[in-house]
Amino acid sequence: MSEPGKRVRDDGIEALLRASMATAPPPALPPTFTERVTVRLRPRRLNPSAKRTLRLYSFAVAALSVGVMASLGVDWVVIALSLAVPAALGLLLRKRLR
Amino acid sequence: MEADNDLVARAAAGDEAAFTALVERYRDRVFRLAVSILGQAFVGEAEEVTQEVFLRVHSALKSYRGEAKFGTWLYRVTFNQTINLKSRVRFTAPHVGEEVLAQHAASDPDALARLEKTRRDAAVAECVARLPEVYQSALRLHYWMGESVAEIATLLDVAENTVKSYLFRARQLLQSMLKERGVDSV
Repeated sequence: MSEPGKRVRDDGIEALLRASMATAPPPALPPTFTERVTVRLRPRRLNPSAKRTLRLYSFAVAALSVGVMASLGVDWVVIALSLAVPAALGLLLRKRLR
Repeated sequence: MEADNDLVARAAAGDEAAFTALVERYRDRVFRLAVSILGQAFVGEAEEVTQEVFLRVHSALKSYRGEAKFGTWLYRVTFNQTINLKSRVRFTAPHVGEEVLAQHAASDPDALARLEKTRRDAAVAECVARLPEVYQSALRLHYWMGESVAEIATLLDVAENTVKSYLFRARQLLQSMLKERGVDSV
């Protein structure tokens, strides 16, 4: 094809792309974007009252378990192990997450 | 203005304000690059990718050695993350059915012209989506977002001449694809 012919075709596709692709304005991020990112970067910690509630709940569950197992005649070594193993795993996980 | 490397060093040491400054400096470019890869119909997904990129970069700051410029590294992470998402999820623009187009045509005085334009725009969008990823990205950055060749070269981490050749090659491919579909581009 001749040079002018090529140029006409190139101008044509150029115009078509501009008309077809620039129909919507370029999008933009919302103004709150940066804040959202920084919030997600902060470590999530429980507030003091939630921590207190969680501790109370754990003690209550442990005490109830010990009571039930003792009433069923489970050996004290087994009872101690059933509390110590999950507690140790929990502590280990907490240490790793820090 | 504080240099990127100083901000990166402070952010890696746990300075939240330094990382916030980096996010402010690069957020729009990262977002534009993600949108240019995913396409017009996936602005929400591009926003999510942008957020994920910054979270990933934050956790990798300590391993950043400064061999490449921070911006270059960030754009590379963005490109890879967006391409990964695109390959995992099938991204296809919502299809506009013939019945919907015909309904519009019946209720609008400029209906025929609009119908023709909608059909042509849909054909262009579908053909663009079949091009190689870097061509798609270069085309959208240039024709949709109005970015200069120099800016596209920075975002795609290639030379300006390479961007020019991407655009030229993409136009050539589009021209033949549109011709096959009976869309006249001249």
